Formats: sequence, C-alpha cells, structure tokens
Amino acid sequence: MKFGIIVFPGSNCDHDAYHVISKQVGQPVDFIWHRDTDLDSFDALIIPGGFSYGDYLRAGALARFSPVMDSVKKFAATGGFVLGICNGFQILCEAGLLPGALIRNRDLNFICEHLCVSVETSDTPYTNEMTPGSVLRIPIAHAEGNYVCDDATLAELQREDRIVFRYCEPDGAITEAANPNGSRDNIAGICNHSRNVLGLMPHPERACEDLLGSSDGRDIFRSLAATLAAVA
Amino acid sequence: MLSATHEAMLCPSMVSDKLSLLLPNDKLKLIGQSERFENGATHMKAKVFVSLKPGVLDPQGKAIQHSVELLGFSGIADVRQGKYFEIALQDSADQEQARESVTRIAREVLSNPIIEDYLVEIES
Repeated sequence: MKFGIIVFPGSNCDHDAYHVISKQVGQPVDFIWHRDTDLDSFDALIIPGGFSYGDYLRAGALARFSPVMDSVKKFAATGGFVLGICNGFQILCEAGLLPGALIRNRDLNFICEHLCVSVETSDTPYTNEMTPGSVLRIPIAHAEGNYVCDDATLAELQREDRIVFRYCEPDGAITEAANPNGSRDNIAGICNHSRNVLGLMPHPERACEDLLGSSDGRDIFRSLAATLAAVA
Repeated sequence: MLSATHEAMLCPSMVSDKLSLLLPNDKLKLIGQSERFENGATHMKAKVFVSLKPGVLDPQGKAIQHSVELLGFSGIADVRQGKYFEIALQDSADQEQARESVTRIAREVLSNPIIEDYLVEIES
C-alpha cells in the first residue's frame, strides 16, 4: 500500500498530509511533483491544499493543465483512489473529476476556523469506518469554498448518496447558520459516481492529533487505509 | 515599484505620455489598436470577456456596489465583476481560424462553463 501526495507550485498542505500518512496512519508515502506522470507505484493519491499556481485565473484552474493531471484522470478512471482536500477539491472540480464549482465565500471572508461537518454516508472508501450522522470537528481555511452546481447535479448527488460531508451544528443538525460559506445544501464534500474520488473543503489532515485540537480527521485516512488493505 | 507596462495595464490613457518617454513609439501598446512589432508585422488582437452567469452569487460585485454608493452615487441597481483578457495572436492570416482558437481558449481555460459565460472579440 503506497500513498502519493501531488505537489504543485503553491501547494502548502503537502507536508501535513505526508506527516499524517507516515506517522498517524503508518503507511508508505511519497511526494509526486506535478511534472511527473508515472503513478504506477501508487495505490491512493492525495491532492493537498494550498494555492496551486497562486490561485491565478480561478482556484485550481491552472493546476488542471499540469502534466500529472492526465495521469490522475487515468488513475481515477481505473478505480484508483483520489482524495482532494481544499485546493485539491477545487482542482478536481476544475478538472471535471467532480461536478460543480467552488466560488468566492458568500461573505467574502477568508475563513480559518474549526467547525463541524456531519458524515452523510459510510458508503465510500473514505468513510466506511464511520457511522452516518456522526459529527467531525475539523478546520476549514479557504476563501473560495462556496459549492455551486445546477439543480440536476444536486438531484443526482442526492439520489446517488454522493454528498459525503455537510456543514452542521455540533449536534449534527444541518442549518443555514452552520453553513460557513454559502455552499449549496451545506455541501462540504462530495464523491464521484464510482465513489473512488472524494473532494472536501475541510482539512482532515490538520485534525489528526489531539495536540492540534482535534483528531476527528484521522478516521478518513484510516478508512482509506482499511479499504486499501482489504483490496490488497 | 510598478513597471511602465504595469502602469499601462492599470490605466493606459493616463500614462501614455509618460510611456512615450520610456519606449519608442513603435513599441507603445494602446488598447484598441493592433500590436505593432519590431519587424513591422501587425498582429491580430483578441479580447475575451468573462462574466459570472446570471444567478451566480457575486459577493465582490456587491461589495463594489456598496462602495460606489458610499461615494455618493445612487440608483445603482447592480454591479457584477468579471475578467478581461487581451490575447495577441502571432498568425494574423485567418480571422475565422483565430476566432475558433480563441473561442476554444475562452471555453476551456479562461472560463469555467459551470459558473461563467464568455464573449470573444477579434480585432484585425
């Protein structure tokens, strides 16, 4: 089992993800420079947070043209696991691997705070160790996290149980007050039709040790590791 | 410190006099004119306007509208913020082909079709 963390110019959560996989999950992990195209030795990819290409044009818009992205698309198309966190989620949307788009936060602020998200489904490789309805306390840190999509896409996401995380109150209630950025239907994370590609705006890799205020994010990586172990 | 080029991008009409002191006339770029290069060839210019689709929230536009109102203007119904690109094309032979290429650039790079519309103008 080997994890790969893709590094674009401007990625800045790559080392956090590396630390979590190597120290908290205890699995082999390597960085992948965005110009590399050989992903054969990897079982799961993480597209980390940050500001790839300085967020020029639109967040994630230029990263999708990096050489590695063609390989990522092939990797995902053959069932490989791809986890996009924050800027990684924005890149996955821009690349068409996930539907919808992430636009400027409703209230214009860059929001950096711990908040609550509910686990909406355990039917993904990333949440199968969790109970639906459980609440994770995880930080967000973004200016463009307002998830938008058309009505047909939203209906499809709901029908196929592909909304994986939603912003919620500490007791799990989904309310407008708990929605930090204006995201449609309080969406914090979604997966693709085949469920092997997940994107989420919160940073689970920043919430994997009690010392850092929360270890709720660890279960996402542990679920993925358990899935990989079962596949192997 | 801003370079002359940066200043020109910010406000071309106000700095053109200053620019002419810094640059030979044939290098002076003015919006609305074809670009003239040292070998004398003129190059087609494409303009691409990208705007948020109607209905997509534009909090930046709202903040700008608020500031405009604070300046004392009333009767502003709405402000929407967009993006403007100038693309100088090396091959000026075929205008239709240029339009086709720039339209593809606008659709696949400059805009996100989920949230944005684009408009292409070609100047020969």
